Amino acid sequence: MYKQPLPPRQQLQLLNPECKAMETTVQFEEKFVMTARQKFWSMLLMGVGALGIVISYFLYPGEEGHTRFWAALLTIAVFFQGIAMASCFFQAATYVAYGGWHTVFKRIPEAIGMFMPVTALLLLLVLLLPNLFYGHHPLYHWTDHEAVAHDPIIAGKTPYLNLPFFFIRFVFFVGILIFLSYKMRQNSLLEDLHGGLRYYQSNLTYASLFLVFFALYISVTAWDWLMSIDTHWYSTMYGWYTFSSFWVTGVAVITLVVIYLKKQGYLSLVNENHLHDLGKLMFAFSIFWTYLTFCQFMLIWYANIPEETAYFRMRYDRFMGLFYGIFVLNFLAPFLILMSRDAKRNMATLTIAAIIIIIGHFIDFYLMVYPGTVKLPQFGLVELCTLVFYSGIFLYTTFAQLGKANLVPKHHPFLQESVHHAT
Amino acid sequence: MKHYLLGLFDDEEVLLEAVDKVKSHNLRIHDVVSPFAVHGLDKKLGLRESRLHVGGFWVGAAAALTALGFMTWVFTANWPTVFGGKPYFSFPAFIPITFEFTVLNASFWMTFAFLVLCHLWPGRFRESLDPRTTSHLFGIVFKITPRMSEADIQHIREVLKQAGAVEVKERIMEKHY
Repeated sequence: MYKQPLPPRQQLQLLNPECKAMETTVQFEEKFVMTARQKFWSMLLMGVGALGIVISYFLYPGEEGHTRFWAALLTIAVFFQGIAMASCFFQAATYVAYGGWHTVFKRIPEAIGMFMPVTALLLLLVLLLPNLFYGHHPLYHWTDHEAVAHDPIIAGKTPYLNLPFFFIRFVFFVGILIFLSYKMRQNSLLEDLHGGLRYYQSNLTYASLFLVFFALYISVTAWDWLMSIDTHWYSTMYGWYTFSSFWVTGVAVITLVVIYLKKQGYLSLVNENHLHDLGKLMFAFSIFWTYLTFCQFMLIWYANIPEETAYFRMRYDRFMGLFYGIFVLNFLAPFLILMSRDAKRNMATLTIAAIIIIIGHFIDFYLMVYPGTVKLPQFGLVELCTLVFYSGIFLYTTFAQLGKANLVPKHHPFLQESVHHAT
Repeated sequence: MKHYLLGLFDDEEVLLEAVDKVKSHNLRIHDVVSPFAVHGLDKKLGLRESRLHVGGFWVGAAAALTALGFMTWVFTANWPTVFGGKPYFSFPAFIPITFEFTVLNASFWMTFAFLVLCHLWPGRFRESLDPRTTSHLFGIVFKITPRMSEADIQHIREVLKQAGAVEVKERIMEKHY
C-alpha cells in the first residue's frame, strides 16, 4: 500500500522543533554585521546620488528638461518599488505554497522587502510634488485640466484617472501591502525568538491576504504609474506584463544578494541546490516575460488599429535599438546562459545572467516611460545619479535589515527541509 | 536465463544508507528499483547524468528552424499570399506556430527517446522483479553469475539483512526484467 501523505498541518507538526528534537550538527547561529566599508559605500552612493539629483534639477531647464528630470525619477522609483514588492511577493508565494526550499536564505527577501516603505515614500513624492510645483504632473497628460477639456477621450477616462482617486488607490494598495509585509517580517523575527508553529500559521494568513491585494495592486498600479503616461492608449495585458518584469528582476536581485553574502562568507547553509532553484525561477520567468511581451505586441501588430499601434510606433521610430535589444537581454541571453543544469549551479554564470536580467528589465521600464514623455532616448547625469542614489538606499536598508536578525530562521518549520534540499 | 537477488526495503532513508553499506563491502549493485525517484540515489550509485535533455534541445532547435523555414518558403516563394495587408514575410505571425512546433517536437521525440532508452517500445512486455516495488517497497538488485559460489550469495544476503532489508529474495527470469 502507498504511504498516505500527511495533511500539511500534521506534516508541520512533525517538523516542528518543539515536537521532534533536531538531529543535526549544522550551525544555525549566523549573524550579519555591516562592515564600516559597506556603510561608507552605501552612504557615499546615497550622498553623491542625492547631490547629483539636486544639481541636475537646475541643469535641465525649461519644460522639456523638467519632464526628463521627473521621467528619470519615476522610472527608477517604480523599478525599485517593483524589486521591493517582488521580494515580499516571493515570501508570500512561498508561504502559501508551503514552500521549504528557500528557508535558509529567507532573511534576504525579507530584508529587501523591508525596503518598501522607503521606495513607496519616494515614489509618492515623485508622483505628488510636480503637481504642487506646476499645477499638473508633466509626465501625466491627464492631470492637465486644460488638455482634458479639449480631449474627449481623456475626458471619458476622468472617473478613473483623476488625482484624488489616483492617490487614494496609491495609499490604499501600497499601505495594505506594506502593513502585511511588515507583519510577515515581524512574525518571522518573533518565530526566531520563541519558536513554535503559531507564527508560521499567522504568516500563512498574512501571505494569503498579501497575494489577494498584490494581484489587484500589480494591475492597478501598472495602469496608474506607467500605462496612464500614454493616456490615449491602453492594453489589457499591461498589468501582467509589468508583473513579469518586476518578478524576474526581484528574483535576480535576491540571487545577487545571496551570492554576494555567500562570497562574504555568510550563508554557510546555502549550497548549489538553492542557487539552482533561483536560477530556474530566473530562467522560467524570463520566458514568461517574453511570452507576455510578445503577446501584447503581436495582437496589436496583427489588428493594426491606429490608436493601438501608436504606442509601438513611438518605440519603433526612436527607440528601435533598445526595443529589439531587450529581447536579446531579457530573453535570448538568460535562455541560452541559464539553460543547462551546470550553469544554474554555478555562481559566476548566475551572476552574469542576473546582471543582464536587471539591466534588461531596467531598459524595459525605461521604454515604458521615456517614449511617451521625453520622446528621445536619453541617458545622462540625472538617470545615473538617481540610480546611484537608489542603489545606495537599497544597499543600506538591506544590510541594516539583515543585521537585525539571525541569518538563518532558526525555528522555521521547514528549515530541515531546506538544509537537505536537493534538486 | 537471468538470475537476480533482490533486497527489499520499506523506507527510502534506510535504502540510501543501505546503498552505502553495501558499497562498503565492495559488492557491485546491478540496479535499484523504486516506486518514485529518490533524491540523492543517482549520486550514490554513481550514475552519469542523462543526455536526454541535450537531445531535446537539438530536436527543438531543428524543429524551430524547420517550421520557420517552411513557412518562409511557403509564404514568400511557393504560394505568396497577402493576409490583412501584411508583407509576405511577416515574422511575428510565424512565431506562435514556430513555438508550438518546437515544443511539440521536442516533447514527443524526448518521450520516444525515453521509451526506447527504457526498452519500452510497443509490444514489449517487461515483467517486474517484484510488483511491490511499484507501490511501497524499494529494491537493491544484484546479478548472480554462474561464477558466484553459494557462500558469495549468502554473504550478499547477510549484508542486505544487516543493512535493514525487510525481505531478501531470488528471482530467475526468462529475459532482462
